[in-house]
This record gives sequence, structure tokens and C-alpha cells, in this order.
Amino acid sequence: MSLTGDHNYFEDFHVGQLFRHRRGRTITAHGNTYFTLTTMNTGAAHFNKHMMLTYLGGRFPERRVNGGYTISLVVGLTSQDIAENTVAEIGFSKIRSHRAVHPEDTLYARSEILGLEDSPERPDAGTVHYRFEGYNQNDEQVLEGERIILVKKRAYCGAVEFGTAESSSDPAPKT
Amino acid sequence: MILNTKYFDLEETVGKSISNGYLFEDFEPGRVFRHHWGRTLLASDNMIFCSDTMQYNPLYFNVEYARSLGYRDIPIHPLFVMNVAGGMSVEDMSEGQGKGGIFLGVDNVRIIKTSYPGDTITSSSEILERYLKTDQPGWGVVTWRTRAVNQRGETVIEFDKSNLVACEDASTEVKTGVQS
Repeated sequence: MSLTGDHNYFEDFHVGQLFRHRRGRTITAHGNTYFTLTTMNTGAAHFNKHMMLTYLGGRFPERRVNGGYTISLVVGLTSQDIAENTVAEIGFSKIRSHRAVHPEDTLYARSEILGLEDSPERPDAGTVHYRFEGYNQNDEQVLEGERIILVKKRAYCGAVEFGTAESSSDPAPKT
Repeated sequence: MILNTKYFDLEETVGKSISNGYLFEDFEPGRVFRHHWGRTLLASDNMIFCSDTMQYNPLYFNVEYARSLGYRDIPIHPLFVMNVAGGMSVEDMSEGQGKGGIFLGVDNVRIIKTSYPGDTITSSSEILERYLKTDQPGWGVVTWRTRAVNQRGETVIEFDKSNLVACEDASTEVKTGVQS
């Protein structure tokens, strides 16, 4: 059995392909606080509930989930379907927060493949450009963005054996 | 629920030595902020981040698989690098002297160099543009480019972040930015 799925090599994607990713994720207050503090983020709105209830005259009912955590979770929810065979990360763009997320909200993700290109530097992989969207439990969109990754080609899989690669190089393409 | 807001009277409770951030008027385009602390990125940080945020690719969990792809160790997930670079910027860019700031979006995230466990990053931000929100007096949108640099001085990631930022004075007029 292969370590990664056989459904998500570069050749398996086509432009316009839509995904409703199967998993969802309920965000906990602890998860949000831990993520915020472990990334050195000092924004009290993410970890001080007492302060948040008094902020701007008390218009917020809860701490806000760190936007970077929401991005990471929505991208994570897309990962097994689209990025499981990623060999290098290229970038992200056009990330927009549309709605506040609070602890105990549940996130779901949808994606659309926007572009597919061969890589001039990596014949064994191609770039997959996709758009991701995050929704809450009420089907309200909370986030959108785009991601570009370099994904293995099936035609080349199996060419690399475990433990045989040279360890000094940086396989990520130069930009 | 009635809470004691006096506790958060900044002049009384915030020590002078702790920076509490800046407001819209301070973010002149071109101004550069060098952020505090720096952070060494650990294998444990990365494993917890990738597990917690469900980054399902064995590149981020399985060192033998990572080596088979040509990496010398499990790479640090670029979203973790971005969040640490951004996290260290928050005191300067997003706390707004207690008025807060609201995250709007990120553009042009460029993953320039792979980070590995043991690498240390510092971050800085340069203001790109700003404009006042005509529909929300007292608030404006500021966009800046945050750059993370490792211990060898190599840029590892860059991104442009936009926040809603409070003005010091609700009647502020800014001549230098684009008005909306």
C-alpha cells in the first residue's frame, strides 16, 4: 500500500473540478488560544474572553478565532483531497476573511481547481492552483483564498525509493 | 453581564515599557517596523501544527517520506512560518493601543525558502498603502508587507496583510493614501 492516495496525482485534476471536502472541524477555545500563543500572536481578542466581552462596549459575544488559524484549518480541510501528494509549496493569494469565527463554530471547506501547469524545473510534478472556501455550520462563508502547490505526477511515482535521496538540497523551486 | 471596564484603562494599567501598538495615523506608507523576539521553529511545533490543522500530507509527518522527496528533514509547514512571522508582528501592527485591529485578508504569500526544525526567524513589516473607511468613521484599512528572515539572513516568506485599523482621531484625513 502506498503512503498517499492514488486519486490525487497531478494527472487526476482538471480545471473547474469542484470539491466538497468530507471532513469538518469544530474549533475549540483551547485550540484557538494554543495556536495564537504558540505563534507568538499577542492579540488579546483571541485569548482573553473577559477583555473581549468588554471591547467596543460589549458588542462581541466571544473571543474571535485567530484569522491565521482559520486559514490553516480551511487549508487543512482541503489537504487530503488536493494536497496529499504535494512535493513543494509555492504560495497563497487573495485570502479574504468574510465573517468572524468563534470557538465552537464548525468549519467545512470547498475547493475549485483554477489552473494546472507543468513545472519547468520539476518534470516529476506540476503546479496545481486552486481556490478554497471555508464555511461555518450555518453554511455562511467565512473565508476564501487561493493556493498554489507542486503535485507529483503519477507517471513518475515510484521513481524515488525511501532513503535514497541526497539530503542536502532544497527541492522547493526557486522563485 | 457587567464587567469592570476600568481594569482596562490603559493609562492606569499598562506599563510604559510595553509597546501597545500603533494607530492608523502612524502607518505612513514606506515606514518599516522591526518586530520583537524572533522564534526558533521546532520539530514539535511543526508536528503539532500539522496535526492540529489536519495538513494531511506525509511530507509533514514522516521524515523518511520527506527524505524520499529530497528534503533533509521534515520541512516546517509554510502556514506555520507565516503565522509565526505574523504573530510576532501583532504587537506593532494589530493591537492598536487597545482599540484592536480586525484581520481582513492576505495577498501575495510567497514561500521563498524551505524552513527546517532549528531555524530561527525574525520578521519585519513595511507599510504599502492605507485608506480611510468612509462608511466606518474612525477606522481605516492598512496593508503592509511582512517578511520573515532566517538566522542566515535569507528571506523565507513574504506576504501582504490587510487589517482594519483604528484611528487616533475619528476626524483624521489622510492625504497620502487612496481614499475610498
